[in-house]
Amino acid sequence: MSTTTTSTSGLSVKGLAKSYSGGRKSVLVDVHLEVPSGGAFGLIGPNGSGKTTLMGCLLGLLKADAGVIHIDGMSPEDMRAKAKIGYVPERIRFEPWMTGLQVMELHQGLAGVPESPEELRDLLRKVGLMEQAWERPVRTYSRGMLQRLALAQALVGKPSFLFLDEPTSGMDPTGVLDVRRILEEAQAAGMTILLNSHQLDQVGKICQGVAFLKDGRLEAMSMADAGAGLKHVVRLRFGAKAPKAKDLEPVLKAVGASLVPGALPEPKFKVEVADDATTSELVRALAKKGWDLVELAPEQDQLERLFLNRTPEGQP
Amino acid sequence: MNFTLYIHTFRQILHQRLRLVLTALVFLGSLLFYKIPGAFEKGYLTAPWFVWLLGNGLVGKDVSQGALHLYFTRPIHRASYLLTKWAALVTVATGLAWIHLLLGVSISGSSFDPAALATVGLAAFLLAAGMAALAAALSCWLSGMGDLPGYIGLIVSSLILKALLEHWNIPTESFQKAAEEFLFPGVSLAQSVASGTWGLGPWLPYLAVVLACLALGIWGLDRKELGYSQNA
Repeated sequence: MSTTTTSTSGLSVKGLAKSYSGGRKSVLVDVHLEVPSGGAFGLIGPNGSGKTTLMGCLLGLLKADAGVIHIDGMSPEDMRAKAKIGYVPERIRFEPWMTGLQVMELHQGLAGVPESPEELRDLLRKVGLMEQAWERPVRTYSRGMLQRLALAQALVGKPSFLFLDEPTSGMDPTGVLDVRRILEEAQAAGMTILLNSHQLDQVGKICQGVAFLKDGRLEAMSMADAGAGLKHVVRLRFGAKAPKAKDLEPVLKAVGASLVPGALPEPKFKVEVADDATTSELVRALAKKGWDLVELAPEQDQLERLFLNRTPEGQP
Repeated sequence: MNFTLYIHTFRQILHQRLRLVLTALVFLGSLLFYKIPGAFEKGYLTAPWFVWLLGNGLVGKDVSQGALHLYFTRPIHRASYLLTKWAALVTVATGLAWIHLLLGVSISGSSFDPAALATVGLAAFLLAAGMAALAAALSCWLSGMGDLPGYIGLIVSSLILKALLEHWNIPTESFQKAAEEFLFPGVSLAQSVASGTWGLGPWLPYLAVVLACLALGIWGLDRKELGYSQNA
């Protein structure tokens, strides 16, 4: 691992490799990733694909077999880099006897930032942890409350980098919305975010870029490109002037789409399109026919498309 | 040294109720020994009890409970973490040993000799520091609370080895001395006081054991990988 300081800002990973069991089980293979300063990047992939291992390497908790990681030009083991990081782990385990406030005080001290009870209270309010819970031992907290506390401790000292490993798992819908708002605010404040989540809609709404990790190999792309060129299904719903399936089929065929037979009762249809460009052509063709199209919705969003296309479960 | 972690380690120790009860029982029960004439000179021997009762799993528990993940994402050197935990344990064990000693002297009704008390107090500190270094090293290498079984295993192994050496008619004096110096790292101050000589002799093996244990612990901690599993 490199320990040199470079002038690059943001997060940079080059040729990262990591294996377990004495090299017999490769988890990460030649991973390259660039996250510019102030950007938000999502990590997606099936279970066991190496996302948490990648996060561990980025945080200096795991030692990479090969490759270089730079956080604002510094090695993740450099204390100056660690001072810039906030981390929400996937498995949150605070010491059960500690209260929420004590957890915050501990992490403020460990982060080496000046003592500020007001900052801690502000953060606990920001993440929506009820004031009555602040002085209660964390063993009485629900999973969602622990998630909120974990996010609050990660934000202590206004870090430049936020590493989040499934930050919304176990949260209620309000909590999920709160996390999204907090991450949007963090990004607006210039924080660089790396988000590992199975909640693809969250990733899609927060991140500008996404990386798909499978079998230890990483494919990075912008959100605009993610899933755009992939075959997917859209749902059509027509109003009063609706076509029959037999009338619709030749139109679909002309633009390179096809009907999913018997999927929905007429006047609703499921149509498989080759990519986003095909969808645009389909809309134009349907309009030309004068049919009363009232709804066109993708069956999966961009990232779901990407995910299903890249995993064995989703492949035909 | 990290002051936040130092205070936190005290708090961790104070939140182990069962261990506190056991420590109180040992503390109160062993006060009776001060009724035996001459027991005062051995008053420092309580320190290892306090080290093991309160410090078992010093690092291993942080690893198995997952607390270390978050600590090491903070700007704390692993060596600093270990030395801080060790220092906190030494402080608690020595403090208890000193209180125990003062109470013991009061109970025994024997005459109060400040020089002798200071000597026994210093011996208690040295033994606490040595035993805590050994406990810290074992705790870095053995998960959970495996350091105490590991320590007991070392004692049993040394006894078996000594018996085997005796069986093969090999002199065991040097082995026994080395084993004692390693497994009970302290400095025999009573001999120095009695002879009036304060040479480096008894200190060198002690310092070697303490420094080696701490270095071994730091090395173990430094090479430790903090993943959730070894599978992904």
